[in-house]
Amino acid sequence: MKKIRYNIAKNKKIDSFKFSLFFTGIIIISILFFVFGIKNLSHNTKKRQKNLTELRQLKSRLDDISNKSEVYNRKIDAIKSKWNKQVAFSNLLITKKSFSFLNKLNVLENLLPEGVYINEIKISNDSKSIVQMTIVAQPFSKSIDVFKRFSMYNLNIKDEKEIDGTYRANLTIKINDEKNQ
Amino acid sequence: MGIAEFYLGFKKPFQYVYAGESNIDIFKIIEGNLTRTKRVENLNILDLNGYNFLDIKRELSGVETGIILNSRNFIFNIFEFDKLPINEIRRRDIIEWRLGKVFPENIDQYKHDYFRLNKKKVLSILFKKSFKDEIENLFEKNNIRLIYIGNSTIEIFNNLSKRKISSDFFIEIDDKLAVLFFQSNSIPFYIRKFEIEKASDLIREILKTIHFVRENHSKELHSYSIVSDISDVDSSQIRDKLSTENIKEINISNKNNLFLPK
Repeated sequence: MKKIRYNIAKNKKIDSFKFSLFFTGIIIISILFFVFGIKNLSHNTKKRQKNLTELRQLKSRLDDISNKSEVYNRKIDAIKSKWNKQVAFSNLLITKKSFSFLNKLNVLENLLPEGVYINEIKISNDSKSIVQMTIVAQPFSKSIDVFKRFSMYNLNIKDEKEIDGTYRANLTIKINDEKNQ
Repeated sequence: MGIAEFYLGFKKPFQYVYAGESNIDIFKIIEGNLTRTKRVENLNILDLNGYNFLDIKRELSGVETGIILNSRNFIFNIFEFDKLPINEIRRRDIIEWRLGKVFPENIDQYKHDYFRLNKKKVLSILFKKSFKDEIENLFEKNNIRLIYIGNSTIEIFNNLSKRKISSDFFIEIDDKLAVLFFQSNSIPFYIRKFEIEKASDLIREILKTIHFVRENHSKELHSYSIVSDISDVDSSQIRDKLSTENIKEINISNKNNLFLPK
């Protein structure tokens, strides 16, 4: 319980000594708050600056890493591209492996009757599977036989001529690969 | 009461006039202690006038002065409320409305002060304005700077509350005026003043009051103190009677002028 401060005098006065002490106390507390505030602020500023420096260093390291990462990415892209080419080439090789010259030549061997020779042959290595050739037949009747046999393979006679009883014809046929047949 | 007054208190005068029942005493600070330097016997404050005040004036120095009056002209009431308004004006209104229920006279003629004792209890003190003005005019006319008008009972309560061991009640005796001041944990809960013609009246009234407090306030009373001039009371009789009630005296030195502000 606080004191009962009972004083009914009209000229009563506040205890100036206590008031001074109280006021001084408030001033001291305010100053302490101010000083600690400033000190704390300065400490915080230093801390903030230190943090900023650290942050800058980290940012610089991050940029380095980012640059390195870009270089690595480029290298990876280059390797990837190289590998892609190699893979594409491999795939091409695989595709090409499915193209059989022997099969085509084998078909031709079976189709050509006796007395008919291939003078010149050109086998294209593409999906059209066209075989261009010049055949020499002796006598002419053999060429008819050849045409009959080739007629099943989209025969296209480009030109034909007979010189000294030897029949020559430029023609194309289409021999599909085994796997496509 | 302003915030500064409430927290920091009033400036203490360098000298005091104590206005008792039949004597007027003057106290001055001598070597750091308040010491009685003069007693004017057979003089009551109500009888003071320009003529007999000269005797007192001669003793007083031209410094700031206080006067402590005994409780003869004060009216004390302790009120309990379920809830007190926070607003000062509304709080005063409700306290004065309650006071009006128990006090028959016009409150406007009195200087009314109240003090919150705890969240619910309030001590109300009334003092006649005309009497206050008379005292202030008398001192003013005699060029004595009066900065303190206090009450002896309140000062005793304040001074005893500071002590480590305080009694459940104290008896203030000044000649034919007795005040019984009951407190619990340094919070007053019952104050009674009465006139005494002879010692037996005093003991009888004390016992009646103790019984009343025990029954109506449900408080256990174990200790008491007596604050009086040695010449005013034979404390042995009180001690004997109260010991039968299992109430022991806590002896306090009456040389300390407990009725003066410290």
